[in-house]
Amino acid sequence: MNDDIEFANRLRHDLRTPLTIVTGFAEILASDRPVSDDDRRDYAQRIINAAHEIRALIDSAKLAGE
Amino acid sequence: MRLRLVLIEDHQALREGLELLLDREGCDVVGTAGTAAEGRALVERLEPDVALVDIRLGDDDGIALTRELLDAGPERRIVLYTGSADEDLLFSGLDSGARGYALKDGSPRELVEALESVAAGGSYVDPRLRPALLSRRTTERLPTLSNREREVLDLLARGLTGEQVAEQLVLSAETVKTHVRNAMNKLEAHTRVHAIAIALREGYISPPDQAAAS
Repeated sequence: MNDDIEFANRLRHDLRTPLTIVTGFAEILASDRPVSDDDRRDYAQRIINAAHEIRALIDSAKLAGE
Repeated sequence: MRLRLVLIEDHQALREGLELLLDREGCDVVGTAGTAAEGRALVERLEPDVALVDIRLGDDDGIALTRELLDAGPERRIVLYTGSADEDLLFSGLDSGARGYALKDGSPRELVEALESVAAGGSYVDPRLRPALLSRRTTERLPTLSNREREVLDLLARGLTGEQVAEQLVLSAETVKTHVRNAMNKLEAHTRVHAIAIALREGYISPPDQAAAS
């Protein structure tokens, strides 16, 4: 049971780490603050990379649960 | 003046992302590290206004690193950063002597507010952690805090520094320190942030937003 709780806590932490990237850069893109084209592309790519990482973490959690 | 900040975070993409995000929010990230050893060396060399330390640093432990940094330099200001709202981790974090405890759920602006509050000598616990603090309400008999001790802790919980509390309550800074010390002893808290957490948990003071609404 303790292992399950530790696994869940670690997974929550691991998921929130890339999620912080998604929300942080998405908030900039959604705001009225000026962003250059280069920065916009850079921020979008960071969001995409983080989303891929979140998907991989979810897939690995599914495998661990099977 | 821009806040001088050291980031200790093992996740490379987040470390680089935070550097950019915090720079946009007006912070000067003077150094970043991905391990406890690198982080310790960086803080010792740069002595930043505040260090942001991830609780889980891969195989390393951000809470242990915080203890080491504070053992060697008790005046250092550290904000722990975590993706977990786990209660045990929260209390271990507060026990370590960190002056701030921020969740990764928060926006970059919230994180900067936490860093600024701690750099100014205040303390910070992410508002999302209040349910975890309040859930530990017990029926144990705790020593009663005086009205003045409650007032002081209440103002510290709102992010005021000791000097600002003294000014607001028309007390000397030394008297405020005495009230904090007495409250910490009564609550058996190891740090000021820990005392605030216990006071919130036990209902001695109200969470700042509830107090503002009432």
